[in-house]
Amino acid sequence: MTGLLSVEGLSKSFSGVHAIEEVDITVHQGEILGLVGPNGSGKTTLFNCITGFMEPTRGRIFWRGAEITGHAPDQIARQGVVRTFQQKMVFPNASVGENVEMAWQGECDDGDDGATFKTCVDILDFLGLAQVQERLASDIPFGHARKLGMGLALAANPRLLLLDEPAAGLDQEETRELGELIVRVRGLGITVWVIEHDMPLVMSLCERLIVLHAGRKIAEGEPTVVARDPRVISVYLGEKFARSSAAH
Amino acid sequence: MVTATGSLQSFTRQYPLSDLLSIRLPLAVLLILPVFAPAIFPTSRLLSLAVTAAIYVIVANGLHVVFSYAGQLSLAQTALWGLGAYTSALLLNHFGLPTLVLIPAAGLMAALGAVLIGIPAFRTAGFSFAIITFAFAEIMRLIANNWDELTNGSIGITVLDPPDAFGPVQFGTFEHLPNFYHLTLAFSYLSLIGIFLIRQSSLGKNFIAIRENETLAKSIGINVYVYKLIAFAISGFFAGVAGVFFMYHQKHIEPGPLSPFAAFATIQFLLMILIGGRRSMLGPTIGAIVVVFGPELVNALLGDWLTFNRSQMIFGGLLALSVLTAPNGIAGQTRDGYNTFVATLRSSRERGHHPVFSFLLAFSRATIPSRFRPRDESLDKEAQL
Repeated sequence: MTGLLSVEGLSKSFSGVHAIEEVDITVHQGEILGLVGPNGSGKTTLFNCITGFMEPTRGRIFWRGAEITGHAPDQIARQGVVRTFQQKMVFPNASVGENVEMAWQGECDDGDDGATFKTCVDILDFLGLAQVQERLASDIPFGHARKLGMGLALAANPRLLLLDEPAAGLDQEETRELGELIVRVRGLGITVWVIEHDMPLVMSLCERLIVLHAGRKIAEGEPTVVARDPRVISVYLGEKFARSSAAH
Repeated sequence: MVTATGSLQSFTRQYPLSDLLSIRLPLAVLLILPVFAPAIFPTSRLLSLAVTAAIYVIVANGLHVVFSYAGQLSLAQTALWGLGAYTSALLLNHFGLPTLVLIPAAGLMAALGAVLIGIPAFRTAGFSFAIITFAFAEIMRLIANNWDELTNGSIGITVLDPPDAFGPVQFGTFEHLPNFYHLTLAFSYLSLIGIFLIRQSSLGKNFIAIRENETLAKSIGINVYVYKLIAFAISGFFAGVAGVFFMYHQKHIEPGPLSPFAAFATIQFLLMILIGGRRSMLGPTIGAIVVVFGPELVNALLGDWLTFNRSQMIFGGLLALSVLTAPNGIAGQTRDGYNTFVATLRSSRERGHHPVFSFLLAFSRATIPSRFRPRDESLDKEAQL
């Protein structure tokens, strides 16, 4: 199995503080990969480095075999690596429909796999936002804004979609819907890598899971296996609980 | 191809034919009116002001692209305007180049100037960009003021040649002012068509994406730096072209601190856009007309009682009042009011109200500011363009 995106020995430090240290990750074509870890473990920093919003201190990033370390964010996005944001990120003074039109970049640069969606309307239908397309993006409910954020990323024609906590702030019903949406996105042939705190969602969604702690990768593998890993349990629930669960 | 079809579809969705007829027909009539200015204005002084207004429209439309669309506060606009005027004046006096060459030459020179300013200035954001453009504008003025061999220093350059005749049609600004006015007007219409086409194109969409959310624009693949440069270059081109007409019209250009090319004079053009409407295509045009003819109107009404300076103060007060009460500018306010009027009239008629009552209700809804009446979601939606 070849890696679509591979990260080799990536480190990022902010004036001496190590946000990420020596992280190696390979993302495979067509999978839904999860990235979990406590707050401050470096998940978003990792995404920022991969998508060019931050320059890594050390290490290299390869996209389809070519190095993209240090490329500009827009350049990386045009090659098919598109991310979403934790915060509500939309074009506020435009309607939902216009938002998608603004993000619409037509065909992908590399040409070999063409556009996933034929028109902006297709994207709105896909997300179930067609009813609110006339409304101002700053006025729509949070759940819709989240979907719109993903729609903007889809309009940029991604091959790899990096979702940064897409379920944050959503209720149970919306989270379930989001899970289905992510599966449908993968169904379009788009590889998905998702940062998420909602463990039930991660467990049901991801085929593979990576756990970051204090900037280091401490576990990787099938979600059920990773969830039983004593190191992961100790990170999430404390040393004591890890020892007692290992004893059982 | 996909993009072209997509944008055509969105265009027809945005502007259905009935809408084009109802809103845009009266607008089109208003837009044609300036063509008849030579017949309407009794004195050549007023017609000369109309020429000034037409030139301002071109500069303001250019500023609209970089300031309103791309959201970048350029304070170098009048300097670029001056760059266009100086370029054309020097090319004309030294080489006697034809007008048809001067216009693109001045435009391209100012666009180049904008790119050269933009390359360092767009590495910063927000107020830093505004201040850097201000500094460059002042540097350009000082160069013009001190490079005696090229620009004739603070004395400035006098241009005596009128624009080249087009067949039998002469464009001298004294004997043939109406012709010169129509020539300038034609270019101000072109500038208006230009910003309309930009707004509809993917170029304009990228500009607005940058204005709305720069980080998001980057994340979806828009090269923010390059598109800002393009926006600034376009605005520079407009200013440069306007410079040619300004040079022909004034016959003398100079770089003093109070000259129209001075950096702070850009404020006047920003004011035009704010008065006219930052979110409207006709905003800068309306603003330019108001700024040029507003003082005349106030003076005509109050001139018998007040000196010109006093009436200027009243005009200034009115401007401040209009910016405070109509944040979307005259164009934005009119459009919102018109949409409110039509929507209220329709819904009121559907509910079976008496026609006179419906009309009065719609009229009051349209003219009384929204903060003084209850919010109505369905109307707000239609007010968006």
